[in-house]
Amino acid sequence: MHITFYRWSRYFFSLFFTICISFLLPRLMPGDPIANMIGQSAHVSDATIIELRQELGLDLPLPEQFLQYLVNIAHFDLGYSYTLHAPVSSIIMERMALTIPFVGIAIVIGIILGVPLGALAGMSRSKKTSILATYGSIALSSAPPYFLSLIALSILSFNFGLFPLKGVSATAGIIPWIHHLILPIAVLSSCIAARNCLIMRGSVIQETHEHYPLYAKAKGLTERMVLFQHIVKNASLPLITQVALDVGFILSGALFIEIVFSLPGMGMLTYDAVLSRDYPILEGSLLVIAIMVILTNIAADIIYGVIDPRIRWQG
Amino acid sequence: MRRPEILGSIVLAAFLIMAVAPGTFAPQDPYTRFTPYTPPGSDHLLGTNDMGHDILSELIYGSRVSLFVGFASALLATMVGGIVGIVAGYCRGGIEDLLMGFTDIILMLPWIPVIIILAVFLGPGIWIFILIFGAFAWTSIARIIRSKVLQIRESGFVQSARCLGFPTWYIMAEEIGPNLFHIAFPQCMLLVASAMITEASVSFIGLGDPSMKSWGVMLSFAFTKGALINGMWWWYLPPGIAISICVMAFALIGYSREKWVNFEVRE
Amino acid sequence: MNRILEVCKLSVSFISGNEVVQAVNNVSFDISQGDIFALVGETGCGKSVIAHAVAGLLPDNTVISGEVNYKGQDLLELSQQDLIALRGQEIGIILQNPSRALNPLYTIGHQIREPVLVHTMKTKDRASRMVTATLRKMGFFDPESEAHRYPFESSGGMNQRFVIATSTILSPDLLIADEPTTGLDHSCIADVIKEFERIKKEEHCAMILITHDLTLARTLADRIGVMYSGEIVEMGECKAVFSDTLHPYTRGLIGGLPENGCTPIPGISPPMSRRFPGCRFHPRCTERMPICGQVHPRLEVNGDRFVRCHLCHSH
Ligand SMILES: Nc1ncnc2c1ncn2[C@@H]1O[C@H](COP(=O)(O)OP(=O)(O)O)[C@@H](O)[C@H]1O
Ligand SMILES: [Mg+2]
Repeated sequence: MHITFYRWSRYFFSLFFTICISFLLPRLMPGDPIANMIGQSAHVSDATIIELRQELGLDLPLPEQFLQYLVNIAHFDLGYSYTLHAPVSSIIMERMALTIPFVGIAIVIGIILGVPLGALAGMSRSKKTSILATYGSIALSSAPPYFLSLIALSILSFNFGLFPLKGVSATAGIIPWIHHLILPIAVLSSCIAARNCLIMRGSVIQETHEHYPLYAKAKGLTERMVLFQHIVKNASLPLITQVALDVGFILSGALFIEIVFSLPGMGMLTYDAVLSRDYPILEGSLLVIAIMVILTNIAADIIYGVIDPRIRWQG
Repeated sequence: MRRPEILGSIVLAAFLIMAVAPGTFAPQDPYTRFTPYTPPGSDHLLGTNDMGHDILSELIYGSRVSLFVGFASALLATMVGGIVGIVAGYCRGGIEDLLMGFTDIILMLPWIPVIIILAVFLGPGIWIFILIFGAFAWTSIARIIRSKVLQIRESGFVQSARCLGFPTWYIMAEEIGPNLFHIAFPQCMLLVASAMITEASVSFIGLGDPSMKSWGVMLSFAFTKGALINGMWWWYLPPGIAISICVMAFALIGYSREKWVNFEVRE
Repeated sequence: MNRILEVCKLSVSFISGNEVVQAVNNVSFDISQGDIFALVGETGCGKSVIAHAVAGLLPDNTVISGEVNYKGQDLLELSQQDLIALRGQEIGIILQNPSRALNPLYTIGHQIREPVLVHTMKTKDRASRMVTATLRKMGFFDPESEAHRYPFESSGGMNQRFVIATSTILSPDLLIADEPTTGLDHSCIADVIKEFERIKKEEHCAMILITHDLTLARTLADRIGVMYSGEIVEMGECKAVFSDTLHPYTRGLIGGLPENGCTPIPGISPPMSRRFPGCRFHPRCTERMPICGQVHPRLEVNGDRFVRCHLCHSH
């Protein structure tokens, strides 16, 4: 494996840090910790509260509570939502079934669109289309994703009725599912494409100052071959790192887009949890999103090593 | 200055003037109630909302909150990042490893959910937002500044200052600081852009400060009170467009100073 | 003799902002089949620019005038397509700095076989076999494993030999070698020299050998041109130039050789953007006359000898 000890420890501490945050927050926040743990608007009888206090170990010293917390997480026990009356982990799993494909497809489309566009824009900077792509990308990444969703929804769904206004039900078949997701995916993937385009453009510009593109040209490769067979591969290395770091933002952006389109994914879950002050759900979401970011970074490390032999050979 | 930077500066200046003296530009007091749901017309250029507030006036008063939150969060983050970067780059060794390792860890934390949870616990408020943003968004600045400091400390004038016997903290403050301004500045502008988008997003799910109506809060109200469903575009479009234009102004200023964006057609 | 390349009154200037850098000024020379023509001169005198101009590799912000006749067709007038067909097949070029000329992310074998793939209809398999054959011919014992290595795993000298293999794999008629030995250690230089001697014997191509190493030029070249600040100041048969040196600058260069005591020429060459009256070399010349500061000397022809110096004109 080419991921170094430093990087593994980085992932480990990142996870540990997030766990600490979600452990400490309800216990340190003002107010009754039990209320902080179960959420404000949950209606629970006094008897249950006493029982809960025992079960959650709130009377124990903090280190022991923390150990218990770690054990619970290791068993995928993220607590119980007293608002939705179900274990947090199973609720999140259910919602992730929508959010992960949604975000995954959008990222893939965003890369497929943004990378070649940015590469071309970086290679021939003075062309009108390149300038348009650059400024277009800056403009697109300046608008909050959910505002773009509002506009898309109002024009395409409200005025023209091309797409549904309300969210998809979980039991619907594949066709309605696609119909409901086209617009959200279009919005999210154009945001991702815009950012990738800017990063790729800068990265390609840096690579053109290297010598190997000139030598590739001297071998008889056309400009386009030099770009797509040589420069793009080298220029994608910084992009991989950046996309992995961006996943946190992409996920957060996806949450807001889901809210606008009322898709029953993590976004709606978070929104409802915010409205009903359902703390266990919010903490569980934080933890799950953090784990997803860490997993993507590990994946990015692996891909990076596959592309760059210098990393792979380091051992 | 390059063209995108000039354009961004002009737009930004217009917003700043509005934010400094909203009273001179706003046609109405933002809390005076008129007929609700009036479409744009001669009385109200951008119409009114459900409470009968004049939307143009709300927009102008909102620029103050949005810009303040953006600037304050970005400045805090820049300061934290600058200090971490300078200390790591200057001290080297164990302190550097520790600080940069910490930076790498924070870099991976999804802080928008953290802001959401804290805002839920502590109640909405701009100061919490500013603090959390400052506490999490400093990582990119810290990395850039550290590498610049590493470069500068090997350069002639720092070496000679040390030879002349100036104390370490003095060299750091006097010599390195000003040199870092021109790399910290574009980053800070991009951070303002990012802070404004984040603030608008967090406000959108109802965690904005309702007593200080920022553009994000305006959008949030418009959305939850059905502006979209009822086709009242004058209610939700202006704040969204204002955020986008303002963020773009910051982005243009920031990007045009960044070497990698390379706005110039010819080098 | 068969003329391969005739360069006629070639001038190249770069425009950056409002500054014009005249990097090559009115340079003419020609090469016949099987000949090695050496271009020597201090760093920054415009040697690489000539190499790039001949191969059509100069960036867009350049103004080129004159003619570069390759087998009777002017390369400067040629369409991009025709030029691409020539590059790597008929005209091979070896760039300065071998390690940077190779793409760090591709194996050596992949990069050597690229010209074969773009210029011939050969399959990847046959191209790879051609690579192995070429490497074996160059004296590599285990060409197959060599071809699977990456540039970062080999020394600069090895990489230079791989670059030579790439540029000569299709047996070009014209080979341009830009500083092939610069930055290599002694044993590698010996290897590279042996390589060029073999190419000269076996391939019968015309070669432009660019170097600031006079010893190398003397060992390999048939004819030699000495450049100073964008101009050719002396040109002729290699032996003749070394035995009967006419230009003070050439004498200065020869005086700088280790066997002659390493006496450097005092001063530095003027920046290319600065034009002034008289000989370009007169500020540093030890045999300066009053006329040298006023009139720019013409290139005087005497049989096969060319020299640009007022001293020789008065003879
Ligand atoms: N792309 C370019 N833009 C501007 N000036 C250039 C460019 N390439 C080379 N030059 C200038 O041309 C001159 C000759 O450079 P070069 O041919 O590389 O010298 P050398 O003889 O060492 O190979 C140098 O002064 C350099 O500054
Ligand atoms: Mg050179």
